[in-house]
Amino acid sequence: MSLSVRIAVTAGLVVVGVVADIVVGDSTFPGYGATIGLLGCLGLSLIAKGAVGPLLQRREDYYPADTPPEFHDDLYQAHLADPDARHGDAPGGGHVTGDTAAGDDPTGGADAPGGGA
Amino acid sequence: MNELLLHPVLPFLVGAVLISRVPRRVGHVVMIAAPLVALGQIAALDTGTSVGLSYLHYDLEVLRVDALSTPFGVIFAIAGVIAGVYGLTVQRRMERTAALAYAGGAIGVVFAGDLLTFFVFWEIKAVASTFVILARGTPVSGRAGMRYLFVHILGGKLLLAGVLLHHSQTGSLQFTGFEVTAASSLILAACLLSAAVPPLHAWLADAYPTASVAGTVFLSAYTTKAAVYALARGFAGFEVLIYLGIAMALFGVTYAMFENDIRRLLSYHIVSQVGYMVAAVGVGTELAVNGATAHAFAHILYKALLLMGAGAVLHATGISRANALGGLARRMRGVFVLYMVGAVSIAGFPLFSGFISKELSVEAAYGEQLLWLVILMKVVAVGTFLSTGLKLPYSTWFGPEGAGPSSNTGARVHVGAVPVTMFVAMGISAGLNLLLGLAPGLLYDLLPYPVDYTPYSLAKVLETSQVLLFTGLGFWILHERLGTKPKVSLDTDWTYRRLPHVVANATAQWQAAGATPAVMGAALVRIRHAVARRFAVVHGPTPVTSMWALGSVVLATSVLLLLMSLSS
Repeated sequence: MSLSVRIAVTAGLVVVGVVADIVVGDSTFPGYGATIGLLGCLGLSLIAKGAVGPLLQRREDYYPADTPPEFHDDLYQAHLADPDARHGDAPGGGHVTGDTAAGDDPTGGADAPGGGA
Repeated sequence: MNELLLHPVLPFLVGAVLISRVPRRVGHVVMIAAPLVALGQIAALDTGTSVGLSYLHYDLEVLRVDALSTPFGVIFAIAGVIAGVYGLTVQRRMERTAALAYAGGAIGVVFAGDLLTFFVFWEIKAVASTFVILARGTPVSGRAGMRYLFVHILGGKLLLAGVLLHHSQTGSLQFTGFEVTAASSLILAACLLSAAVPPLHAWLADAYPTASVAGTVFLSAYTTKAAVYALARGFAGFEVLIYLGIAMALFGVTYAMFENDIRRLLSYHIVSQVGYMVAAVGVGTELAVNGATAHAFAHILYKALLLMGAGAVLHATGISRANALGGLARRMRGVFVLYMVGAVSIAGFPLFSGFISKELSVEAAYGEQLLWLVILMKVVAVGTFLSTGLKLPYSTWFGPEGAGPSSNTGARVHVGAVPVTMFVAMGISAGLNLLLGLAPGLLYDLLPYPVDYTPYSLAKVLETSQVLLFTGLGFWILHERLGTKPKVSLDTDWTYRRLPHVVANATAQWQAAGATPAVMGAALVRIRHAVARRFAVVHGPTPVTSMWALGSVVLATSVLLLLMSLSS
């Protein structure tokens, strides 16, 4: 949907909100909710994305040893194997459940990056 | 003395020892039973129960049950059940031990009647939570865990110094409301660090997202909320907390706006939401302390739900960066719906827990004529809904490519299965969030002071609905411009993660250029070597190994001290 349509819809709803506030008659001022919502949204977006973010954001390898991984292979589908045996740190644990999977993806794992369902 | 057997710490600490020894299947039972037993014990303990002990020459109150400790104890136990169920199939043995000890430490903190007991449990909590982070066992979590420990040891020392100074000045170890003194300022600083008040907050967003998916859920519940409890107990009405609280609330939402990692984004919202509680404690009226307590209670429930949802996505896809997710709505429908229950709760939608808890703090600010605070609290609510309720779910489950199957990068993300236990835990949490929203009396009856407040009036519901509706419309207009980039954000942890490198490099350059006199140069070499040795940890033995060595030394020292104190 184009930007102008979205703005028009919003403006229409501002009018509805102001009327509702006047009818109910207990708001700080008519249009209080719309003002806080829209100005808050716009203000925070401008400040965060326009001013603070560009100042404080760096490339992902800024802390070279702590570069965030693209893929967390140790957390991915961690339950498919026994969590203890997987890391080899605790003998004696029973095998845990492969049968608790909740079939969220019936299409299966043709394009699994590793491991797989 | 029978009441001591009802101390809610016991099942957690016994469970922590037990779970490291029993077979894994029995461990499942221990993990759930420990917090449930604690919940039963809290129900069985009468308000006003107090158990004293004499240790050395100190009169300690190891168990104090009153109107402020009970609600925190109840929610800590419930959080233990939820996070325990969530982690049943994925948590390792050491992580479970650490998690139970951590929860036990936090419960001990809220039921401690004197400052020495409080300090001991505070430290158990700090060390055990470090192991929760380290338990993931990756180099990144190892380093983040050690930084976390470094910060919390500093906090622990501030607390100990404050407690000792307080005792030497007043002769009392009772933990009650403080006056402004040097001693109480030290204790306040320790509590502020633990509540993640900027600039002492960076440990939270640094360490929490590096733990395992279930570890992060545990971490989100206890440390900051135990600190809120301590602030409410000792520092209610300290005006500085109003300003610190609202500043941290705004700080958290601002950082969350450009954060790309979904669990780090939610971590910044912990900072932000705890800001509400700190500000309410600063207002300090009965209604405000009720508000802080209620919000801590609700916050644990919905934040756990949000982190469980994000964790389920991470578990199923292996991806935590919002820019690489997207297009999951059709493939992870259940997780999406449950996550959204958490999102509307944190945003304070009528009928959900955040509405009935947040409005108490807002009303308290109104009551004290702090209109600027009311407006800023509303703006924070806007930012909260914008990040956690709109931007994060949009980029994770939808994105420019729609509901699926293409991700934000255009490729197709593989989605694995999510264990039933994760759904059960999220279901319990979502159910409780809805229950509190529908029947606020359940929570209000638990609060420290009588509540004379009706959240559901037409005017309040209309105002909140409008604020959230227009936030949604604002996002609808702006959403193309709100996407995040794969970047890291600098925070105050820069001072101990990067600054030493900068100093070391600068001194090396000066030396190479021969710009420093010989004497100064030698001093700089020494500093640089010291810095280099500090950083050698990065390449040394794995942090877990070194922690075990450290832990055994600490244990041996404690046993020695105990024996000495008993023989004296």
